Amino acid sequence: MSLIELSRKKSPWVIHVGTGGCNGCDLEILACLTPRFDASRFGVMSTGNPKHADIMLVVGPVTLKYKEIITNLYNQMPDPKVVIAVGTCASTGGIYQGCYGHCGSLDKVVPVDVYIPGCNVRPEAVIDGLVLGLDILNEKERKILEEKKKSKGAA
Amino acid sequence: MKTTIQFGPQHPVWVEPLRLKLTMDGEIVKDCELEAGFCHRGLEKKFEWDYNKGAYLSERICGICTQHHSTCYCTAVEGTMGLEIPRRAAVIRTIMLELERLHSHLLAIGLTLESIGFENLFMLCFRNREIVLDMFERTTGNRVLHGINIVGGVIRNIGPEMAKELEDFCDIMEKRCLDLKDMILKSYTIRERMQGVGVMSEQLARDLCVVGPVARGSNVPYDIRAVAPYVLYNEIKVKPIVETSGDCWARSVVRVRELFQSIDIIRQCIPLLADAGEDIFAKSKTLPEKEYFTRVEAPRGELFYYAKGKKSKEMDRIKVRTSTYGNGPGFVPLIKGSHLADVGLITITFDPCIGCFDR
Repeated sequence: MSLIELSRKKSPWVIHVGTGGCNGCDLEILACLTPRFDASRFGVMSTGNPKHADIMLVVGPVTLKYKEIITNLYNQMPDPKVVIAVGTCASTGGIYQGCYGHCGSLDKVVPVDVYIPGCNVRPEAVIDGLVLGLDILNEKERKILEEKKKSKGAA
Repeated sequence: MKTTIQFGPQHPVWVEPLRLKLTMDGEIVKDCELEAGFCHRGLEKKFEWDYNKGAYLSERICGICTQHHSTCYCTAVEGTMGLEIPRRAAVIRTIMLELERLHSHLLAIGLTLESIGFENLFMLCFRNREIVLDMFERTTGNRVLHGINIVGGVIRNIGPEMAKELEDFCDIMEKRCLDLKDMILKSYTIRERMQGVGVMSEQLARDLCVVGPVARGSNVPYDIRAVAPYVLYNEIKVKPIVETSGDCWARSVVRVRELFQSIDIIRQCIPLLADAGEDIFAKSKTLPEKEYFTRVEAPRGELFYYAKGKKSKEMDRIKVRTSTYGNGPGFVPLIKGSHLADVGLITITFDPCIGCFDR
């Protein structure tokens, strides 16, 4: 295991993106990062900068106006990256289905790795999703490293 | 040299998207443009729906003041049908409204402290907030979106045991809030950072018609609970809490002092449960057909719902005017002329909830 791989496994940085939900899931993510549930036990740290982030936590249905911004944020994140759709409305559109102002679910805009259901989600579910996301992150990391090795061997 | 800074839509100070276009002259903000609408989902159109489901939809406008939204919606729809809710339901609604205010104010105070870099006290606020959320989970079954209000009453009763638990909760909460108040009000660092930053004069507050703690921080005693009493506020008298200086400090102090007011109101409501009949739900015999509007004092200020029925199960029109929407124009004149470092602090003391703002 390389050093970078180890540090990613031990300390993923998350960026928290609210795309126009009701705030309920935002609050539960904040509750996750604060003393009662304390996701920093797993080394999770919240950052505001997409260029530092490994995991993107997306809350709420993607509104039409926010579509462009979220693809922009996604492109700014370095590989390997994991996108987690937090809450029912990020996963499927939820109660907002049929509203004219949003484009359904998150996976129509950016590829999603983990879906966390619940309206609103419970903090335990968010932590569970983060741990699942960590495995996927490590898997992606390994694939990238293998490809690098292969290309080096070919050269 | 003039530079333009895009503040947002994705900015660590706010959880939610809002854009400020700042024209800078060195460190001083010369001009400020507010762009909103990133959260616009089109909920008012969606409200042309089964009026029973509307209560759940109104909770999803904003996850921080869910109870206020659903109470306001239910009262408006009940008004179109001429329905009177049972007294017990009114008491339970009042208790829930004040619990909601407690957790919302703790959140707002915590985020304000975080924006000035006081991470430690932010964590403390959130630890105290978890007790309120526990109480919500015990009484309604949910932590954030409660789903307790329906048109005609509430769906969960508060029995004598739960009332006892609520009393204990009030005692614990008051002690915690007193600690928090001491830490905030006696802190030299916080006072020096926030006093005199983002001053909104009384005249400006009246001109812009700001509502809630923002108005009360600028010496405008405007509180719907006192001005136009709803549910149980006819009996429980509320005196608006007012601060005179109008800066970031005053707005935060109003919130800190309102914590105790809320605890006091819950204490006054609990004995009323004992002799309030057993009914918690009244079934309507008619369909919504008239027009009606209600005003509710949400944690962020006046919340307005207009409802119009068309004698069928679907509503004709619901218009929502949220408190943050009223406060929105308020921060533009305050940001002009302030330092760049104060922009985050000034906006966060307005307690922006963009989910409400854009709907």
